[in-house]
Amino acid sequence: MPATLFLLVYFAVPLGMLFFWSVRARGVPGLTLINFRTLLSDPFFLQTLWLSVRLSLEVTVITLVLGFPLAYLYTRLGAGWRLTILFVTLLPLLTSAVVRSFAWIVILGKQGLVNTVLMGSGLLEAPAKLLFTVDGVRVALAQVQLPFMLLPLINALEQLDPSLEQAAVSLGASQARAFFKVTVPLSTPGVVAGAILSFALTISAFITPAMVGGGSFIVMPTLIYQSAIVTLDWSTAATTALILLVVALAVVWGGMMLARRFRYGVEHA
Amino acid sequence: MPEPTAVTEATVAALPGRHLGGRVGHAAFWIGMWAVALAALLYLLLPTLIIVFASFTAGEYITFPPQGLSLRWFVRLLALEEVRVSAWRSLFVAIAATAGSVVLGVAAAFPLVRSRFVGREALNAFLMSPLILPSLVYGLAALLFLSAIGVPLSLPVLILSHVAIIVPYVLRTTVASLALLDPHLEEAARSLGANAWKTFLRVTLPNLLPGITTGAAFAFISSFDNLTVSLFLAGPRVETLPIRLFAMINFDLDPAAAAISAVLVLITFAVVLLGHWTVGLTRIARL
Repeated sequence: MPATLFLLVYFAVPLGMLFFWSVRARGVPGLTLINFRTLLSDPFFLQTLWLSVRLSLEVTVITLVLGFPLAYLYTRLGAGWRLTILFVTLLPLLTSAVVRSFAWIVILGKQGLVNTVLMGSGLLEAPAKLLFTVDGVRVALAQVQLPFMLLPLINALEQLDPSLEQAAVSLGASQARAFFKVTVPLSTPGVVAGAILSFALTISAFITPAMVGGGSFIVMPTLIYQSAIVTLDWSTAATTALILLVVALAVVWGGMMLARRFRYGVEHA
Repeated sequence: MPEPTAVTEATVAALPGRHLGGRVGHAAFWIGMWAVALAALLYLLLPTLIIVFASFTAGEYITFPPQGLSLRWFVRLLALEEVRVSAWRSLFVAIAATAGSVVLGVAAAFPLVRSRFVGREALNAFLMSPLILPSLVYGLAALLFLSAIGVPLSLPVLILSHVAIIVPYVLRTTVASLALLDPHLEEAARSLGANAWKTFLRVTLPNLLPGITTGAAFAFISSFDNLTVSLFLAGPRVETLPIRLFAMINFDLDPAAAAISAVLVLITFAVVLLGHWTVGLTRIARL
């Protein structure tokens, strides 16, 4: 099969190279774990790793909280609304990340939309610093990742029978109780799928933190890029990339285990 | 089993917990849902609208709201040699990479769906893995690989690396369409005298076309917009449009960058609209 051969040569072998570079160090003969040891005992590196993980978790929670009501209403609305929601979801999903990050620079900048509105209405005297902060990057990243949360949620919620919720309501549960006790638990597979996607994409996002964050702080992808292109320290770049991969895969795996356990619990309750 | 909707308002009203407080709670629930949902819609749409609006500024800098409206930055765009060259290069890379990914992806879809063999699931996971791997990590890995085998960075190398990361888009949508295609249709064509090629071209391919087109559109856009892999593999002389745009924005907030962005948003808008007319957005969202 040509595709397999192509990806073996052009995808699997390069990843092998990544591994090779991470277990080699200048002046050390043979294979070594010294790169991992050096990085994982470096407070600056650990701080960067923690910031990346925290940011990705926060973005995942924001996208879930914002995305769930929209996905829920999608399943209860008519064709016109559905099309509008899909259109508004797919448009940013397919728009270049550079363009979307640029838009957030325009929104969050000193003379940007937020500052103009807040100062125009007298709520602020001097422009607030929003650009080049972690808060600004969090807001921008959540917008960039929201479509990836929405699509799995919509797919999962569409497979639920709305009469289950109606049954709970007609048996005396309030609409909110029926929603939280019936719909939310039954949509766990979609929530997990969306959360995994959102987390994995956020922790490996390079463009938005680089552009909206400027040089004010560093996340794992920026560290990889700087080591590889600026300082030309390929061993550090490869090691950082592998640690990023392991963290992302661990979260994906953990999420899948959680989903499986949860489904088991529901079926056997 | 009686329909749950058959319960009348009177019976519902007589149920415990369905007094006035329940009504208020009911309204509050839906108001809350709509408030969050509308905020999410606005949040999704706002940046796109703003960048398009900002590109029509008549001023020297990007501000919001723009200082007067004009098309001057779009006119200026035509005079920017680097932008024009990098745009054509990106278009060429994206077309070549999409063509490559369609050939490889469609060819790989058939054994994955139609034949049974040991390790089929594993092979599927392997072929889909570029989608999950961060493209930044792939860019670095490919750079290390190319330097190890002594291949200098060039346009063909860039195209091949784009193919590697966009193959899964075509593969996924083609596999989904192929799994829905009834093999009896092809058998019928064969038994009516069509040869293998004719069956493939007249029966199989037309049925797979919506899936392949959707995958190809996703593949094309991801290649055309790709920055992270290109940053590692483009080299100094092979600048693509996203690299140019990235550099322009990081250097200073040039309104010409907003004009490029507006053009890109317009292209995306056209692609989504085209997808709606040909395949249907509901189907695209499921693929």
